[in-house]
Amino acid sequence: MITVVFDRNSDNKIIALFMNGHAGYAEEGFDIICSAASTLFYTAVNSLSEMCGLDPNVIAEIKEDSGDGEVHTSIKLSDIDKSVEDKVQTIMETILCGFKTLEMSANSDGNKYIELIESI
Amino acid sequence: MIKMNLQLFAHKKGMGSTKNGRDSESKRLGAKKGDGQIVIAGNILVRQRGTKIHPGTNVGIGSDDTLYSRIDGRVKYERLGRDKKQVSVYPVE
Repeated sequence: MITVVFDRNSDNKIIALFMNGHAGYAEEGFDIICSAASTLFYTAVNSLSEMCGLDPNVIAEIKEDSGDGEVHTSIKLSDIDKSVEDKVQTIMETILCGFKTLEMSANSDGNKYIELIESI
Repeated sequence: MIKMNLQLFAHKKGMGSTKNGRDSESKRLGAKKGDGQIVIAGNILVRQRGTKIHPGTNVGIGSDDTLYSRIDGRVKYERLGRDKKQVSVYPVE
């Protein structure tokens, strides 16, 4: 199961996205839920890069599964320049909406392949 | 732009059945990480309904009261006041 955590600060701004685990829907090459989640994660990173000028190597961390069954990725949004802060939040809220949409349909067969946690 | 791995969150081929990768719909509540355990940012620490255990240092709380780690570090269960408990995560030196 992929755990997706959107972390917010006290101003309700999204400050981090953490994703851990495998979908477990099917094996590599056939896991459609994994590909949907991957697409959302990379869209976030590349949108923040292309539209806000953030360096993917600074904001994103990607630890691929090296055979140990562990995969961890994160986007950390600290010290964001004021000039792009609103755009960053719009992108992250859009990605969150994408994960909500994915979670609704991905777990419809009664199993949990992805879990979305949004901090309060 | 960074290049995408479309199967970033997929089990590698030949790495055990996909059956064990899923979580059933039934809610397994309780502590998911023990005191002293090393965790990664985003790891679930406690599943609960209501805040039996409160979020401490470097711990966030989800809308369903799930507690998760905000940093990579070591888990610590602590007392909170006279009769409450909290869980924190501290960086590993």
